Amino acid sequence: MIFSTNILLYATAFILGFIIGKMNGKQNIGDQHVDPQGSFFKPQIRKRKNVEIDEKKFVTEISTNSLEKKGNDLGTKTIINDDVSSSVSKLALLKKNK
Amino acid sequence: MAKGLDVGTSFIILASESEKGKVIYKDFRDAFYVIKPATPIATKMIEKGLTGKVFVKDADGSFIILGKDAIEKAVERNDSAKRPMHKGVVSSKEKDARRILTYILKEVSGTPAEQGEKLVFCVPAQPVDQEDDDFDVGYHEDVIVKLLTEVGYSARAINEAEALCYSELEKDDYTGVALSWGAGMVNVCVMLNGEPVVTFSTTKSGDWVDRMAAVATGESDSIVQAEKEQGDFTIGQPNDNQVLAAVASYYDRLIDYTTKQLASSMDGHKSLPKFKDPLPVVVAGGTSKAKGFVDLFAKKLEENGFPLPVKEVRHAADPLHAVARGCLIAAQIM
Repeated sequence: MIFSTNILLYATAFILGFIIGKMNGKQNIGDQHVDPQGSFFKPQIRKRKNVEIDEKKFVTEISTNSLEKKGNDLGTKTIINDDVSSSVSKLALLKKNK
Repeated sequence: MAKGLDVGTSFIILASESEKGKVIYKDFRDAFYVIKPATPIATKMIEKGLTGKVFVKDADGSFIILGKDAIEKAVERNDSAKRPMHKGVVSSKEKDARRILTYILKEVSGTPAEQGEKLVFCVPAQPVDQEDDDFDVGYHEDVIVKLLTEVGYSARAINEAEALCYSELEKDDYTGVALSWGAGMVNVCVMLNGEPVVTFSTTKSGDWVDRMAAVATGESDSIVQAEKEQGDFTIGQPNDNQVLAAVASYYDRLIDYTTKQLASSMDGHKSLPKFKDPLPVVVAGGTSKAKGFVDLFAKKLEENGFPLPVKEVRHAADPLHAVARGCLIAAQIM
């Protein structure tokens, strides 16, 4: 009986001490924002948000107005008997079934 | 209607269909040479001398000779013609490159049959042997899309070797490996049932052979190029002509280098599926037209440990037009 009363007293004292400590602790820190910095032995890995710049080159106006055509036409033409329709149908079917 | 356009470092080739069963190719040598006359009399003399050639006159009075005429004129003056493209993309080395390339592409592609006509053009893949910020496929693609859109096309880019697969792998159910040996680069695509699984490029090809042979013999690049294209030589065999002997030797080294790069880039590649059957390997492009090329390439593939099973190594039916044909096929499905 005495044993169980002691346990009850110890538990009550521990809970009271925990609550008082917690309240005091909050008062000391207040509403200040705490930013964990980590320690020498356990460095804090901070999550960084990568900010990237768009380095893709901008295509400016390319004018060919200053070039005056003088000579012959460009290119040599050749006509070849070649039916690409079977390649087109077979490939289109493959792509459709994917 | 649709068109395919191979925008190569050495040749620009347009493919279109005039009627069912007939494909029209329009080839143009991707080169220019500028002559700036010093006096009005010289202007008249030069213009007269250029009769029958392909050329334009610039606002500052200079003459820009285009295509194979540019190479002929450069050789005549013991000089080298300029290129609007370098290693598969618009050249950042030449001041006038973008303007000249734009002019050539507009002239070669012509006006569309209807507003928004589909046109597919090829672009190279990112190289595996060069870490260079100047290599910018995105910018090159944007320049071409912009100019073709201005002309009235609905243009889209395709990987060069992927286009080659579409042209050459029909009977293999679009499964195999294709290598496009252009002037500036070698583009590679591994395809499985019509889907590209691995694409990349290497930055040494025909131009590298010309440059190295030019250094070895003390000739200009244009002279070496002209000798190479007109002369008779077999890769790896001795030749009485010093230029052709150097070209044959550097071809050997180029094939060795490329097959080693292929083996190293593909070995253990995460995207490569386990192919159950041996694959066909197709080669195309102007650089592959040299005598003895296909045989030596097949031999070096085996020697240098190509990691995929190979059924055969074969040349494209029309090595110079195969990429443009693939672009045309892609444009008709687009």
